[in-house]
Amino acid sequence: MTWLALRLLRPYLIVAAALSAISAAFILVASRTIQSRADAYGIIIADYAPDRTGLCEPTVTCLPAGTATSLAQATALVAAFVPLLVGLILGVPLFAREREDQSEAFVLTQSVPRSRWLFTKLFWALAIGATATAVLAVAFRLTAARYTLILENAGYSWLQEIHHNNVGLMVMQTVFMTALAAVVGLITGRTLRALVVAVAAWPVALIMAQIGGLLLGLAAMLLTLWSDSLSTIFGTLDQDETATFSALVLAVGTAVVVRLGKSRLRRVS
Amino acid sequence: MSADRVPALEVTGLTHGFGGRRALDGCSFTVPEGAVTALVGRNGAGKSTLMRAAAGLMQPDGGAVRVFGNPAGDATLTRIGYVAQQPSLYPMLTVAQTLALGHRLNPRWDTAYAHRLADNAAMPTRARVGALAPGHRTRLALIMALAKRPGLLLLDEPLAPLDPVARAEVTGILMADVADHGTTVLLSSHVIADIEGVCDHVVVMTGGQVRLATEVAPALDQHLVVVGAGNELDALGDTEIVTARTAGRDVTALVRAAEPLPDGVLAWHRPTLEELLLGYLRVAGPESPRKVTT
Amino acid sequence: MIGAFVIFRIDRRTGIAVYAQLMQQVRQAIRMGRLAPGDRLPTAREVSEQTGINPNTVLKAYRELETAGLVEARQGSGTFVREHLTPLPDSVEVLRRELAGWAVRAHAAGLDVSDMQALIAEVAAGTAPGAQGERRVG
Repeated sequence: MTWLALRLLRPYLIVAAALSAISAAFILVASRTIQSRADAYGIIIADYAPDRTGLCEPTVTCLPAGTATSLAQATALVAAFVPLLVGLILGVPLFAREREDQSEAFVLTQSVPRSRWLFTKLFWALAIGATATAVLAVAFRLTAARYTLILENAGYSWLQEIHHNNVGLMVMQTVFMTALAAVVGLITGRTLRALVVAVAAWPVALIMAQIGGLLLGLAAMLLTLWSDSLSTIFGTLDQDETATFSALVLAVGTAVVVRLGKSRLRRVS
Repeated sequence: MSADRVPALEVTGLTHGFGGRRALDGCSFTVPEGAVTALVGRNGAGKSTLMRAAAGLMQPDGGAVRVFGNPAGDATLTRIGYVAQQPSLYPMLTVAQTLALGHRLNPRWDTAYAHRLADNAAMPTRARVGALAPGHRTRLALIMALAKRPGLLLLDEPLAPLDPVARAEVTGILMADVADHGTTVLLSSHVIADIEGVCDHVVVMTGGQVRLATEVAPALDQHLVVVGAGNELDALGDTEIVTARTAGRDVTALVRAAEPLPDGVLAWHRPTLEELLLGYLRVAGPESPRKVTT
Repeated sequence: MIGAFVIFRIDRRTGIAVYAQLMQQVRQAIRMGRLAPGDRLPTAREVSEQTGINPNTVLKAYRELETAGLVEARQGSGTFVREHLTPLPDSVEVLRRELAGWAVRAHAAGLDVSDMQALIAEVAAGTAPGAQGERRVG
């Protein structure tokens, strides 16, 4: 089944991997360029990051205008949307395509239980998606996040609300979107429907994840207030920790979506 | 074919709807082990839906399908071989890859048999399935079903895309498999000539309902085709008339009667399989309201 | 023991039951000498593969041929043409000659072969008690 799952995933796997590699390469190159531009202007990024406490004015980017700003903006876009894209590329066609050309009757009438078909395909799609996004997320967090943090507040910097420069949140976004698009495709049997539903659900899922992350963070805070020892372990909650809690919420969401797919499996086709 | 053996297929009160339309409406019949059964019906009679339910591909709204005693589903997958009307294969795989997949996904896969059948069909093993001619695709689907070594073969219009030579070859392969392994076969068709001599049991469906489910030979003995003028049919008395068709003054009727008619005004003969099936196919079913809506 | 060389030709459109066609062709082959006493009939599997007919139908035809005394089944080795066949009754030749005369008249009356077959089949089906007997055997 693994062979079949990977063989059917192959074209999407290649696109997702290429997208991830190109994005990561772009992030690395862009970071170097931005840094060299900043050096040329004598701007010390560390003075501003992470909360624009330095000299630069609000609503204005702290980076030198021109190439550096454009590259930082492009990097912010990549970090915000490529995880979603990877999820859609892997998730939308995963079951919908097979059901659309009615070839699923082949695998469903071999001597393999349906659930194995579901889980093997999902497992590989999620694993590939997580790896692809992890590569670009790590590249982004280590090299480019410090520049996108100090883009002007009103425009591009809000994009970081999507991922909070957090590797876990970016990866879980891909994982959740892959699972969601896949399961919608499994149930409806239509790629277009899977795509539309997944894209429409994305902002909703993000908001839910943020709220859930905040609530979890709050709960953790209350816990740490009770005990000094816990408090020292956790420290004060910063944005990064809240984002990790949001990632946890998305992980739970993924599990719920997969369970939904499992429960509807008997009714497929 | 003793009655106490578990039937290969047992359909009880099977009901299923698509939107507002009833595709299956309380179907019940059994297929004894080792039988070759034709599922006969016009287009839209519910044959494919029934086949899919038997293959465990579809969860019916009501009723039950049991394959060798177990509810159709994951548990019965090793025992069925299914070929859909539009053969389900992955177009991007090659023939060789598809056969290899059969080996990976089926514990009882017979590699030698699969290759022998593929060679007999002059199957281009390196070609992509998507590039095969429809006839070859159907034969590949059939090979996949046969090499799985199933107890019950479910074939939905298997001969339709084949040319006459391939038809004869495929029927030969199927029947040889029946002779060698005692495989039970349920095959749907609306070409009666294709099933003559092939099937020992028939199930006739119209409008989602089963009209006749029987062994062929006794059924032929229990029916008569009667020809006479319209008012003469009254002479039949209580005899059950399956269908009657009027052509001019004459009425041709298929009736249920084991005993020959006494000599008299009515001419009669034992029906051929075709006459028997046509008679039951013409039984007015709930398909007439469908005609009104379209 | 020269194996199976009888090639059956099954016409699915005549309306004649397939097992009856098989029986008729074996009879014909024996009568024409294509099958000699001691010859093995093709196995049900061979016939099925070659003609695409149900092996049970072949077996049924063979069983009826056995009842009719034309062939015998030998355990484990197949079905063989009987060594001591009762020759066809002489009356068959008489009947045949009568039918030939009838066929000439029917032809003159404008009937073609299929018309004649239909007529014979209809008359035979209406009168033959033998038809009932044959069915009971299966």
